[in-house]
Amino acid sequence: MLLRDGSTPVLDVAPGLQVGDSVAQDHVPRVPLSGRRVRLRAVVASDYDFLFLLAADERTGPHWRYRGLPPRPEEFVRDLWQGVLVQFLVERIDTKERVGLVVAYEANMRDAHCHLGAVFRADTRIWPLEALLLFVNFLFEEFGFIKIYSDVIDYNLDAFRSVVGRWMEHEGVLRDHERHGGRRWDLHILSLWRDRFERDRERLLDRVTQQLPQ
Amino acid sequence: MRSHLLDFDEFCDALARELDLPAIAANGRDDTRLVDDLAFDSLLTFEMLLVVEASAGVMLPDALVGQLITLGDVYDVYRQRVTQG
Repeated sequence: MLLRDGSTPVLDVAPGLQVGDSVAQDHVPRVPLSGRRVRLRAVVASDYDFLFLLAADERTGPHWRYRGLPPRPEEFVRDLWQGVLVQFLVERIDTKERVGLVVAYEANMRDAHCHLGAVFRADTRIWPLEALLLFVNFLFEEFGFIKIYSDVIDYNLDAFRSVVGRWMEHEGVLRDHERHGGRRWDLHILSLWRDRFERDRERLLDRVTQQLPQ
Repeated sequence: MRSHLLDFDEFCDALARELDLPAIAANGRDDTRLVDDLAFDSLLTFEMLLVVEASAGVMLPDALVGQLITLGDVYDVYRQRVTQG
């Protein structure tokens, strides 16, 4: 930043450092939020329209909290943070296109668990999983959770076919818990245990964060 | 897995090991269908692509995902990328 007279402002600096010295940040441990294709970043106000459209889109809406009912715009932003511990916008690294949102909510810090939710654009199928892997790792590392839950409505369960048993446990089912599309649906409660995640954590994280030529 | 070009059977064995999916090694033919025969879903496809990318040492185009129908298709992609260097 330049002051009006063209000089740089005076800053408080740590003892032994001069203004302009670069401070190496490499020693600061960081949980990776970028993979090969997508990165997680903070949600900012300019993302609200994109997120509103995801909630209202008939292809993605039924998979999110409003179950396809268009939310009231004035309440949407408030709802976006209701009960939320942390959330990230997911964007492609190459084009910076926004592809979705990952959310941790209903966190119980005493008992060390939370719920995970995610919604992605309908035209993205595979690579959002990279975002979920980064996010799950972030939640376990930053908050020390022992378990992460995901509530999955019956018509979404097929998308988790290979997850259940391999990664997540099917902990229970709430019968006829939700109404949508003219009928009632079961709600399945899946969980991912920290121990299970840690068995493959390093191998998977190495893979998604390793930079490769195209 | 990258050091040399694996033949199809070696490739299936490696994939089965990495994905913890013995069915790939047991039933792995080039016309074995990922979704219909091996019950692949998006997560397994994602894990498989990570393995193939690590093996071939290159990123695969996103558009390729929808074109991978059989194990033979996956092996062809792997072989092409490795031989192209």
